[in-house]
Parts: sequence; structure tokens; C-alpha cells
Amino acid sequence: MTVVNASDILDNNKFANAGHLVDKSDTLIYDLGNLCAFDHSSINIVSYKANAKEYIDNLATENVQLLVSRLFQLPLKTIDEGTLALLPKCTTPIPRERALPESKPKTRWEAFAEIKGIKKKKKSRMEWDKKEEEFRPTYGYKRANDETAVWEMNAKPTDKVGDDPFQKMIDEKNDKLSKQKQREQRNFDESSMRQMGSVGKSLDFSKDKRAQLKSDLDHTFDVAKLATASLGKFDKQVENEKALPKRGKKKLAGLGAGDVSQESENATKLVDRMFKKENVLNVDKAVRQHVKAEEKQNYIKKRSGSFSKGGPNKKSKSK
Amino acid sequence: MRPLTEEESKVFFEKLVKFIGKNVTLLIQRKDEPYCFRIQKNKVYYVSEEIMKRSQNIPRDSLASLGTCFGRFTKSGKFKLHITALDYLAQYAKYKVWVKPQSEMSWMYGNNLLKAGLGRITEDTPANQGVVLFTMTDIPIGFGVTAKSTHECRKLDPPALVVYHLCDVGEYLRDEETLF
Repeated sequence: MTVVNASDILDNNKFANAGHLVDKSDTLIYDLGNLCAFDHSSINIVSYKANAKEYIDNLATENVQLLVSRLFQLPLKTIDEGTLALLPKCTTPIPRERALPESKPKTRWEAFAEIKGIKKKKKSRMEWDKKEEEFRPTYGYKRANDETAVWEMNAKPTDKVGDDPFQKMIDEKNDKLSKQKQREQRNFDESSMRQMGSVGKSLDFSKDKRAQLKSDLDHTFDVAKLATASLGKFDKQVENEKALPKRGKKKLAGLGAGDVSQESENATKLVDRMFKKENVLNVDKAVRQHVKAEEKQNYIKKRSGSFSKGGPNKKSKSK
Repeated sequence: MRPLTEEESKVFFEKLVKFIGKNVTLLIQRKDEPYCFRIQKNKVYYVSEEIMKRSQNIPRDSLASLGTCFGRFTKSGKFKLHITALDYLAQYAKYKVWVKPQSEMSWMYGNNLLKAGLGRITEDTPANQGVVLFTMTDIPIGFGVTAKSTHECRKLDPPALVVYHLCDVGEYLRDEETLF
């Protein structure tokens, strides 16, 4: 098989300049670390308009040739498989393909230690046991300085008769363990809550998320409404504001379920309260009575008046 | 089956008060036997304590009905009276309307009561007041809401509306399956 060299095919007369085989001044900006070159020179409009494709092809060919010849000028390193060019450092910053990894949520202790500047110390796995006078594991089976692995204990004056000091020790240890479990659970809960909350995350306004977004907003509003001294009772209401959703159990009127007498008493009280609020005055009736009374008085007045004026006068009129 | 919540009992009693006024307390605290209101599948029942206690042995799903059904709560939390409450309403009614025999049937088919059918009416009945309707022989046949007060009724034309229809005894036949 014969190897065809690119320079053989190309018109040799055209590239008299031995440096880079291109008949062009080298104005490119190189970033050889990224195998890139940037051509900032302006386009020759006349030749571009004459034949755009040919012009661009030519330009690209020349530029690539320039870049490749630059690459061959780099310091080389020979290994068994062939020769390598040592690329310089990249100069063009390129964005990451993926998002930055999220930091693991800190436990309460880690957060506290960071504030206080406490650093984790590396503990050696083996520790010197003074009693046994040998190195033993720091924790686990047959650990060094194990306080629980004693067969006798000194009695204290505070000890009560019937108390088992060994059992007490085990209980204390179990207590500590369960407390640690609780702390772990709390850390887990807190971190998962933080992950669930939308705090610090960008909102997704896509159409399929809109309902979720709305209900989230409503929920947040409901929570925020409670954040006053009166739990939002005396707040100024926004127009068309929805009432807070009722939480908690429904209160049964006769809470003594089964005790009917108590229940009926409560119901009576409720009815009494309703009547206290209600206006007892029957306005229609009162008005009518008033009108009637007036009419009656008028009638009496009229009659008594006509009598005092004298009958004959009226009689004459009627006649 | 459970007792009414505070809100429910408020809505419920407000409705009853429209018809029987303060006599509601007579329903709640009876002298002969303790009675109570119970809610079961959104219907409100008026039950004696004894029956209520006996029915506690029956699972909620299987309990179809107990005592006297007074009405039901709608999904929006309003209370609607049923014709089955008529016995108690008629007993304690504050305002009554007596219907002439010729328009009894019309009322029992679910029509409103016209002035032409109005036999007698309690004195001083205000407008928009819950009333119980009786035949001239004092048999209760339903209840409704007055359109006009007694005073206004006197001057009305015969075809004018007097009582809006709410419930009538015809429902015992028409709505048999949903009534109790």
C-alpha cells in the first residue's frame, strides 16, 4: 500500500512558503490545548458574493492547514505506539457538560463543627490498652479500654439495695444508642425536608406543572397568612381571598358521645344563643299595632269632638 | 351514625327555627324520653336514646335508617328538610296555613299555594316565613315559605302566590326511595 501525502496532491507551486504551506499571512488566534483556531479577519465580500461555497471552503482549508502546521511545531514526545504532541494549557473556558453536583446536606453536628472550626481527627484503628498492656482495636469486639467488660464493680454509697449496677450500665449504653438513632433520624428528616421544599429552586412554568405550581403557591400563602400574632384572624383581607382551610378534627357538638343528656343540653344552649342574636321584635306587627292604636285614638277624638260641638250641627249637615 | 358537629347543628337548628321557633327546645329536651339528633350518611335522624343505643351495634354501612328522618345535608353544607319531619313540625308549628279543599290536591302535586286556595292563615305571619299547611280538617299536608305576610294577603288577587312549595305529603309516593 502506498501512502499518499497531502502535500503531493496539492499544487506545490502555490505554496512556496515552506513554513506553513499556505499562501496567507497568519492572523489566526490559536488555542492549541482545545485544538482550536479562531479567524477574526474580515470576509472579502467581492469573492464571497461571486461564489460563497468555494470561498468558504478555501478559507477553511487554509485555516485548518495553518492549525495543523502549528500542531506539528509543538514539542513532541515519543512513546511505543507513536509520537505525541504535547498540547499547551487550554485558554478558552468551556462550560461544563453537566450541572455542578449538589453538596450533601450537612448534619447538625457537621454544621455546628463548621461554625466552631472543629476539624475531624483521624483516629487510629488500634489503641493502647493500659490494663492488658497491648494494642487493641479502638472499637468493636475486644476493644481497648472497654468499660463494660468488667467482672467486678466498686460499690458506691449512693447505690440502692436491689439495683443491679451491671444492668444499669447496659441500660445507659442502650439509652445513648437510641438517642443517637433519634439524632440520625432527625438529620435524615431535615435533609429530606430541605430537598422536598422548593426553596432556592427555580420555578418550572411549563404547562403541565402549572396546576402544581398554583396549589404550591396557595399553600405557601395559607402558611404565610398564619404568621401573625392573631394567626391571621384580624388581617386585612385581599379581594376574593379564600378562607383558610379548616385544619384539625371536626368538633362534635355533643362530645360526650353516648351521653344524650349532655348533648341535648349543649344543643339547647346553641339554640338559646341563636335567639339572643335574633331580633325578637316583630317589626310588621309592631307597626300595625301602632297604626291601629292611632286610628282608634283618632276615632275617639273625632267622636268626642263631634259630641262637644253639638249634635244638631251634624244632623243638619246630614239632612 | 354520629352526633352533629357544631357547625352542622347550627345550620340544622337555624332551619328548624324557621318553622317552629323556640319550640325547638321542646324537641331537644323531651319530658317523656331522651331523644337526640344523629347524622348517618348525610341524613339527620331524630331518634330516641334507646333506639340510638341499640343501633350502635349495626355497622355504619349496613344501617339504612333509624328514627325519624328530618332531612339531609347537601354537599355544599346546606340543610334540606324532608316531608318525614312534618309530624314534628306540625305539632310545634308557629305559623300555620289552612288550605281550602279544592286546592289540596294541587298542593300535594307539588304546586305553590295561590290566594284562591288559602282558607285561613295565622294572624301576623310575616313574609318569607316557614309555615306548615293543614287541610281545613287540621290534617298536616306539607310545609312551605310564605310569599306575602298575612296583612298583604288580604288585598291580593286570587291567582297570586301565597305560599312557596317546599314539601308536601305527595312526596311519600313520589320520592319513596330517597326519602327515609
